[in-house]
Amino acid sequence: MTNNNQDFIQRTESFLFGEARLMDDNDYQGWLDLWDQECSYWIPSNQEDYDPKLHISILYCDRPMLEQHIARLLEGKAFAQSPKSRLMRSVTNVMASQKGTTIDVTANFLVTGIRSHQQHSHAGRSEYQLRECDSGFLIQKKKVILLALDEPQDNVTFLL
Amino acid sequence: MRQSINYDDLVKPDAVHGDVYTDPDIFRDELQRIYANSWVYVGHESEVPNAGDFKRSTIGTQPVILSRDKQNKVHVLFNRCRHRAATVCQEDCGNSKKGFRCDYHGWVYGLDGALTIVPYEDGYENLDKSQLALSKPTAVDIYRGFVFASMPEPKITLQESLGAPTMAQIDYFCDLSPEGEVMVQAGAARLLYNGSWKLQMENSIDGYHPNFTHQSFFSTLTRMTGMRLDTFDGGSTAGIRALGQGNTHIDYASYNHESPRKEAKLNGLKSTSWGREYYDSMVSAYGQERAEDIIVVGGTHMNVFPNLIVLGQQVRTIRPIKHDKTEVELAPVLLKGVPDELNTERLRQFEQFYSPHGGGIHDDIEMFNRVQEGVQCTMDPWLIFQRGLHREKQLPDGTVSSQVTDETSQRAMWQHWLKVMQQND
Repeated sequence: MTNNNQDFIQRTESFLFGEARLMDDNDYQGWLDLWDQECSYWIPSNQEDYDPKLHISILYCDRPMLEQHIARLLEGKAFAQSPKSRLMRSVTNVMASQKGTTIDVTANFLVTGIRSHQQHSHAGRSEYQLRECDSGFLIQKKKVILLALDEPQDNVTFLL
Repeated sequence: MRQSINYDDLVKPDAVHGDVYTDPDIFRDELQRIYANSWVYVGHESEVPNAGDFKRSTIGTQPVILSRDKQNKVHVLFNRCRHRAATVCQEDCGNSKKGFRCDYHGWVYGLDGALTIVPYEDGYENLDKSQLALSKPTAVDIYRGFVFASMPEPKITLQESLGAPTMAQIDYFCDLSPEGEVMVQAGAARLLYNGSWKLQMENSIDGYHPNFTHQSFFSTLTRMTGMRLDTFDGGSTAGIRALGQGNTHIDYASYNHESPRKEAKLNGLKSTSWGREYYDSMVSAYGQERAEDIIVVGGTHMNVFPNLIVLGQQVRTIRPIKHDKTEVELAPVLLKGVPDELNTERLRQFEQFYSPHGGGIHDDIEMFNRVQEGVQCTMDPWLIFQRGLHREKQLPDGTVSSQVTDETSQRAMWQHWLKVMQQND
């Protein structure tokens, strides 16, 4: 059910804005710390929804793969992010509902990046399943639906 | 009138002049002499599996449609209304019962390209609809589902153009399916970069760059497996081969067959129930020796000049847009007749390296962008492709082979490019 409690909405938005800032700052480790130990992260390719077993994705990973993904970026030898993109994103249209300690959230984003003197924008919608714990929220599931999911991609190797 | 370019001055046996990446006039010649004048890869039959299916593609920069008509015949049609030239197919792919309707003035074409409807036809005095079908390349031919087209009457057949060594590599790729069929039906990653299309062709069969461009990917592998991959070391037994006609190949066969790699691969496969099921189906399809060879070699890693790359789990198509702009479509294939688990594993492997958010391909693209910028410096305009020239060997099958880090592959591609570009329009 949708929860209209102002405090709940504010806490959810505050979490998303914090995540956005970590991604904009290319703070790979700080961002990884937002994720639950059991988690899934999916960026579909070509269409919004399908069976990932028989169709490729832009990214489809569990916690161990996410850790490797981040470790690779942290090493400084991922040349598509060396030098890193400068990023700023807006997160809007937040809708959230809570059931026990599980929170479902959707939000739109618009991220603008500059790299090699080129400016690019990427829009999308993120769907989260968060878990509330003593320290706040942790991401259990995140699905990022890029507006350009079926278009030729330029450099989208920053955090999404 | 611009002066014609003397291509002899641009390609030496061991070096290439920077103009070949930057000159718009050379790009214009390439479209004419290569793309509009030889066998070009258009798409795979499995992308249009049913009657009425269509997919948009290109020959060079020219938009075409790959279609399948009601008699199950595959066609390549130029996407240009014969009336006033608007494209007649807008969707990237789909299914159409009636064919293609030009939305500008309502002319309708069948799935085979035949012109079927001209609105208010009585306003024309002598309109012969049979002469106004969508244009087609003069020749279309298919090898193992790979559809190629030639705009003029081809000087050699597709099979001659591919050649036996290239066809043998395509066979390795398709025979990973016990039914001998791959299906390009698992979506595609598309990438765009600011550089010449030849940078992608040079790079995909470059065995020298992986340990450097992709060091972040290989150290990830090392962290995950505890083992360092030595395939692309200077002393590796992997090879590089020129297959003829500008086609080239990174040859992992002897490297993969070495102990204990071969045993590890086969035993690893047989350790799961679905892997065992796959192994058994391969043995019953091909016999044990060939089946194990196919599995151990694991497909292929090759370029078919000018615009097809068959590599690992994928079919990659190069689409030149401008002299310094290129689109690349990477489509992983599903193997027909295998357990879903195997196809899923191959898709996840593909994503790890080749997806736009993965750990490999964008580091290549980064290098293409850097080359395209660096090649603007013209004081010393030559790019050096001499690595291994002294140690490459001609094999009995006519292919030329050398150590995996050698530039035998790029040299062969450039010599073929030169030969084709020297032909007059």
